[in-house]
Parts: sequence; structure tokens; C-alpha cells
Amino acid sequence: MTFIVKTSNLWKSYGDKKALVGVSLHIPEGEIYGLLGPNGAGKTSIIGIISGILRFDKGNFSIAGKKHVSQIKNLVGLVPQDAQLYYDMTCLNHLIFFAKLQGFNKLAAKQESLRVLKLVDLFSEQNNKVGSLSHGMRRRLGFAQALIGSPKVLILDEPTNGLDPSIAKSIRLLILELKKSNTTIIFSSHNIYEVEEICDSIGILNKGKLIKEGLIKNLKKTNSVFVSVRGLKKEVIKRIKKKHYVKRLNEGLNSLEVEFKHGDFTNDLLKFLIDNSLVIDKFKKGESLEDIFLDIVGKK
Amino acid sequence: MNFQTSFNQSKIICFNELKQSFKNWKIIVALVIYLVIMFASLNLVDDLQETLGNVDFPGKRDNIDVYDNIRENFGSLSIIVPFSLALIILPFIVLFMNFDSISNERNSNRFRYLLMKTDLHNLLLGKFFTSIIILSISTIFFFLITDVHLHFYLGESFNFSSLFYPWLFLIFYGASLSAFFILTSSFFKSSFGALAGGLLGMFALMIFSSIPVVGYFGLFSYLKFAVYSSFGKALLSVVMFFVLSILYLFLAYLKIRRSDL
Ligand SMILES: Nc1ncnc2c1ncn2[C@@H]1O[C@H](COP(=O)(O)OP(=O)(O)O)[C@@H](O)[C@H]1O
Ligand SMILES: [Mg+2]
Repeated sequence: MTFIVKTSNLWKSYGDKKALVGVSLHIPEGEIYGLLGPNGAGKTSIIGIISGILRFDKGNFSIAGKKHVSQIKNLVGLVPQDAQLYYDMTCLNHLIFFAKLQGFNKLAAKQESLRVLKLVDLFSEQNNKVGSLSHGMRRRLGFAQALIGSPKVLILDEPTNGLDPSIAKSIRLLILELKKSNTTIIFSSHNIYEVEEICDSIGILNKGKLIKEGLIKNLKKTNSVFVSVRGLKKEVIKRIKKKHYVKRLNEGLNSLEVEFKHGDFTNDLLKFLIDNSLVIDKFKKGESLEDIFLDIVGKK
Repeated sequence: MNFQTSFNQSKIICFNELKQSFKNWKIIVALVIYLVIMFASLNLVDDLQETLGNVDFPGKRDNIDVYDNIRENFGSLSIIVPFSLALIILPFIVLFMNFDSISNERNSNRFRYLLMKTDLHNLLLGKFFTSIIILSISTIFFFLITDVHLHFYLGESFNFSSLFYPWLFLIFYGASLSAFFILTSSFFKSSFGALAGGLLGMFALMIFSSIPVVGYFGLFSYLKFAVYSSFGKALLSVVMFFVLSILYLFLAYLKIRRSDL
């Protein structure tokens, strides 16, 4: 796996307030990466830094091997959080303005603008004023603006925040659609469920620290259980090992930890132990992504 | 980032700002007030002309070199009243036009969009040029009307060349004010704060001007040269306005670079 965005040990503070305390991200190329964290976790800060528009105190980062801000800006398209557009411009003129800034000449700027309008499904709105668009459409226009010049990395800061569920859903579908063109997408959110829905990899951020990072399918496994049990015999352990759902088994003195192949077979395992007249003192299931996250945000 | 791209980006920002300005009620209101006051001053000119023509008031002879200077700089006395008035109201007009030029971009988060596509200095220059263009157009417009007015009501001859100096002076004066308010705006996030900050800054400049040496970093010290001094000194003020504009813009640049959007 090649990482297109790498940060190492990034620190950032606002005055006395520490916003990032040594964050090292590894964002795989061509995937959707979810930056998950509650409000104030530091998502916007890290996004500002890797887009090259926010200063930081310590550490470094690179995008596609480039480290210099002027090179980075051409590789990245950013949709900032809650950013307003020029409401009294038409969608097309709005995009043309940004395309020209990016160095497109007059004709090319128009072509490029029309291309990105098609990508976000706003082609028919091209001559309407930005102010007359719905919230969802404005969000899409923000995407279009970031897609000018086909950046390698598209960074979306809480793009579904504050939208109706159905519109948020359509934005997520759009993101999946954009992934097909082999763009790496960084998607920040405080909603675990939408991150699980569309992301391939994930970094969980809390209070400026990266708590966990990796492929969702690896982090997601709920499938382990730790059981304190007295009087375990070699024989029983052998039989547990043969069960179809067991992937790995670690035995302690008066305990065992079982990792399941897939899914959660805690009940089957406990039943088996009880059937073998063993006394279970306690057991604790391995954590799921959801557990980890809800635990962090304290909603459990 | 070479000079050509930088220039192009400033130009694009400037065109966009101009387009936005003509839809912006604040700027329209400011310009209307500016022009209305200036036109109103024409009546004053009419009166003044009569007074100066009829009465030989005390001191007129003593100040003969002042009159010479005025004649040298302005061609005639007629432009001087609206010109002096403009010197006084321009700070307020420019403040009203520019007070939230930076804070607004920040507040709306649009700064992030813009900074992704261009560098900060192009953005500042673009905004700066926009206000120069708006001020120079409206000021020349006013002076032309004035000349026509004087021609038809007071029977003076057209004297377009005499308009050049007051026009140039006002533009550079207005430009340095714009740069100054871009600077004050960069310290604030809310529009209200920026307006209050701009006003405070303006008063600070005024107080500054009366302090010896330090006064030269303010704008208003140069105003006294505008009317009464020789052409050379008046031109020096224009140069100083230019230098101060650059200074203020540079400080604004540093301030924004150092802050966290
Ligand atoms: N401009 C700023 N000035 C001061 N503190 C800030 C600023 N921006 C963010 N913070 C603080 O830094 C922390 C991280 O913020 P942020 O990166 O916006 O988190 P998130 O996007 O995850 O909500 C928060 O505690 C926030 O209050
Ligand atoms: Mg945020």
C-alpha cells in the first residue's frame, strides 16, 4: 500500500490551546480516508495544515512526496468547513473565477468549469445564482470548485454536516462516485456511521491525538472475547480450538482469550464452557470501532 | 511563483472584487455619500468665489505666496474647496468601503478557498488595486463635473490640466487609507470589530500626526502640504502616501500570515 499523504508528529497550538499533539497520519492512495473525531478533536486543524493554509509548530508532512506549499496546493482540492461562496455570482462564473486564479485561460476556464459542474451534477444550474441554490447544491458547488484542475487529493471537511439525512446520503454517494476517478479523498466527520459506510481507511482523532488508524475492515472486528474461567482442562481447550468460528486462542492461567474468524460467537463459547461445567467469573468482549468511538465521545 | 502569474492572479482578484463591489450596498452607499457631499460643496465654491472677488479681507495681501502656491498647484481657487472637503471625508468613505475587506473573507471562511488558489500577497494587492480604481474613477468623475459646473455657472474657462494634481493626490491619499484599513481589518474576525478597529485606528493616526517625528508614519501629517505648500513638497507627500501604502500592506501581510485564519 502506498501512502499519498503522510504526516509525522504534527503539533499545532492556538495560543495556549493545544489543538494537535503529535499526529502521524498515513493516508493510502486512491482510497477514501475518514478523519473521525468529536468536535474540537483537531480535524479542521489537520486539514488546514495538509492543505498548506495553516501554520503548524512542529513535525512535517508530505503529499505525493512533495513538501513545499506551492507544490502542494496544486495537488490538493479543499472544501473547507462551513465556507460561504459568492452568493450573487452564477455557478458558472463562480467556478470560472477560481479556475482562472488557478491559471486556466479564459476558454479553458469555462471548459473546466463545465466539466466539474457535470461531475457534481449541477450542469443544469450553471446560470443560476449561488444564493438561489439549496444547501445541498451549494455543498456540491463547493466540491466542484475543489475539483478544478483534477487534484490528486480531495479534502472534505465535514461535508455532510448540517444537511438533511437524505441530502447527506446523496453527498456520500457523490463521494463514492468521485473515488472512481482514482482520487484520494479525505473525509472528516464526527459521525461514525457515515464514516463506516463510505471509508476504506480511518483515523480516529480525539483531543488532538490520533487514537487509532488503519483499514476499517481490520479495526472493525468485534470478534474477540476474554473469559476468566477456573479449572480449564487441556482437553476442553483442544475442543474449543477445533470450533469452526475460532481463529486464535490464547490461554492464561485461569483465563482464555478467543479471537473469532468473523462475527461475534461469545454466546456459543460461553454456552460451551458452561456445558462443560466450568465456572465463569467474568468475560469481556473485544471492542468494536463503534465501541471505541462512542467511548471516546462519551455517549456510551 | 513568478512575477507574471502573481500579476495575473492579482488582476483576476481585482476584477472579481470590482464586480462584487458594484453589487455591494456598502460601497454604493459610501460612493453616493462621497459624491453628494462633494457636489454640495460646489455651492460653497460659488459663494467663496464671490466673497473672494468682492471683499478685500484682511490678510489677503500677507498671504500672497500661499495664493501663488494654490494657483500653481490647482490652476484656480475653485477646485480647492471640494478638494479640501474630500481630504476630510475620504477617510470615512474609505473606511466604510474597506473596513471588513479581510475580516469578511475570514468570517465567511472564503479565505480558505482563495488561499488554496492564490497567495496572500496577490489577494491583498488585488483588493488594494480595487479600491484605487473605484476611488480614482469616482474622483475624476467628480472633478470633471466640477469643471463643467464652474464653466457654466461662474464662467471660468475649462482647465482640465489643473485637475491632475488634486486627482493624483486624492488617489494616493485614498489608496494609503485603503491599505491602512486593510491592515486594521486583518486584526478582526467580526465585521463590527473591524469597523470599530478601523475607526480607532483612524483616530490613532490623527493623534499620531501631531506628535513630531512619529507623525511621519501617519497619513495626516502630509495633508498640510496638499494645499498650501509648493508643488515639490506636495509631490513628495504623494510619494510618501505610496510608501506608507506599501508599509501598511506589508504589515497586513505579516499579520495575516502569523494568524490562524
Ligand atoms: N482559530 C482558532 N483559535 C483558537 N482556537 C482554535 C482555533 N481553531 C480551532 N481552535 C481550537 O482547537 C481545537 C481543535 O479545533 P478543530 O481543529 O477546529 O477541531 P474539529 O475540526 O475537529 O472540530 C479546538 O479545541 C478549538 O477550540
Ligand atoms: Mg472542524
